[in-house]
Amino acid sequence: MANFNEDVFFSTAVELNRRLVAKEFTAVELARAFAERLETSGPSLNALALSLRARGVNDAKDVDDDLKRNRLRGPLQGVPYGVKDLLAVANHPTTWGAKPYAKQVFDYDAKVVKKLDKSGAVLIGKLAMIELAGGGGYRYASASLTGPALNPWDNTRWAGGSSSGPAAAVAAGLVPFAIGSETWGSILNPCASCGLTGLRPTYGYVSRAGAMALSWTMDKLGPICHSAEDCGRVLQVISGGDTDDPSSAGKSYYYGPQYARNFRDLKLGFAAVDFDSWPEENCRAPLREALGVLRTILPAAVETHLPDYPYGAVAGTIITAEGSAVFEPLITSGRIEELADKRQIASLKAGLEIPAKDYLKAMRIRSLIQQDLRGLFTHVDVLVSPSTFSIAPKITEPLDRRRGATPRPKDRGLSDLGAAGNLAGLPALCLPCGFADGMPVGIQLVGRPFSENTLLAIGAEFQRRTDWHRRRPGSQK
Amino acid sequence: MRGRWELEMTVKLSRRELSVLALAPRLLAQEAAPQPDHSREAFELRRKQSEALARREVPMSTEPAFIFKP
Repeated sequence: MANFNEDVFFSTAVELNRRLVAKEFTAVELARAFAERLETSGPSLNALALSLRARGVNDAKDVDDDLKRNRLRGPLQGVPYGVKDLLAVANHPTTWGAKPYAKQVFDYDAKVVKKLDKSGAVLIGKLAMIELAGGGGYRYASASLTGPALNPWDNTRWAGGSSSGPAAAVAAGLVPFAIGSETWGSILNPCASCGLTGLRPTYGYVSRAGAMALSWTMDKLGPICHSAEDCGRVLQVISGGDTDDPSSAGKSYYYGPQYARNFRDLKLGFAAVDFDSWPEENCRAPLREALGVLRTILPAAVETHLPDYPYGAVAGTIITAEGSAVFEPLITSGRIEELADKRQIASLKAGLEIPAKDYLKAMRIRSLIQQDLRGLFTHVDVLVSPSTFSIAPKITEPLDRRRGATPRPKDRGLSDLGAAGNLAGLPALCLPCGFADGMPVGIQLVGRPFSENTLLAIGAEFQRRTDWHRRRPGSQK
Repeated sequence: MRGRWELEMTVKLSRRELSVLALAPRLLAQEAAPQPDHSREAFELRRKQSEALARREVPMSTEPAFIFKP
């Protein structure tokens, strides 16, 4: 049995695959080592929903057979991973993080899981999440069947959400990568909170067949990893058209950052106020420094602002209306009272009363937002903004109190980029970029639809010039 | 024989126990902090969002951001 040192558990997927192909260790040894670690430390972080060690080790045996015969399937072959527990894995509980669904079992795998299986990646666990992906809005980190996910950088703080378990597990070196989801912030927020690299793909790039629906017009599945390259490799596997997903864009993605345009030809849009005034005081220095590094990569940078729209009202109305409709049986049966978070219960109930005129108005404003953002992207190629304006909160803090600077700046800059980007279905890459009071902070790059190779090329260059993505909990002091 | 019983009792109390006894009436009188009315908050948020949407004018020709495919 190989004796793994700590470095292995914080290696990227690509690095692990190289070492597997070089026969430094076997896929079974690697799967067992990560599964052991996930089972031992996952529960103490409230990151683990269900260990899939047996399934993983079994798949790893097939990988070892392939590797012996030099049947190579790509850079994820033999690499263990976890999935947010809203993805179906056949004949195992898929709880959606919520007590009413604690015993729910599907007899099929989600499409993303099938694709990763085919690539030779080794699924070893289902990872904790905020109940129902937090669609109704939630007040506390404890809004989860498994309790508040703890941040590996500081266990008194939250791992972020709603992809809490995936982020905590990757950050703690329990899985090399994980699949999370984002409707509005649920990949970028936990990645920023845990010092990880995460990709929210263009809406429709990744099939949602077999995933819990929260908001049909806003849900996206995406990778949570240690590097931009890993995000690209995972996206290549999980993307592609799917007739089982009505929202599928019908496009495949090939990881090819070398084909992205020359950085000197790309224009970076940013708002100084996002870095100087919106973040809490302790976050400003590392965020400004990150912007400085980006401006050396993309020298053609311009001050940019989002067009003026009620982004919060639009996104909130759409997500709550769609989420309440999805969970109407849960609400009308009364079983919604079993959820952990009282704010979410009330919000989903109220969501059933949203009149059609409001939903349709929100969807019409959304069309205008998309149109205006298309116009904005004729002047810039990439937008950059902090992923969050503060570090991860303490686990007992109410999450719906406003975070960031007080008082709020009058200039909104790109501060609504989270809502705007999700409403328009745009891709976003979260990059760790430093620390504030010992906690990670992150920036987000947002691009045109299907411009993931541009974002990932910039991200990879940023990670060549910095080492924030290499830091591990305990190393920040 | 004495006409009344006299009972002497000596009780030793720590300073902490004494302070609890002194504060007890105030503690008992204190009501539990009011819990937020989540339902009212949720409807209030919906109302504010509805108003924000209503304030935004949209050209009549603007269609909702979904496409029906037969």
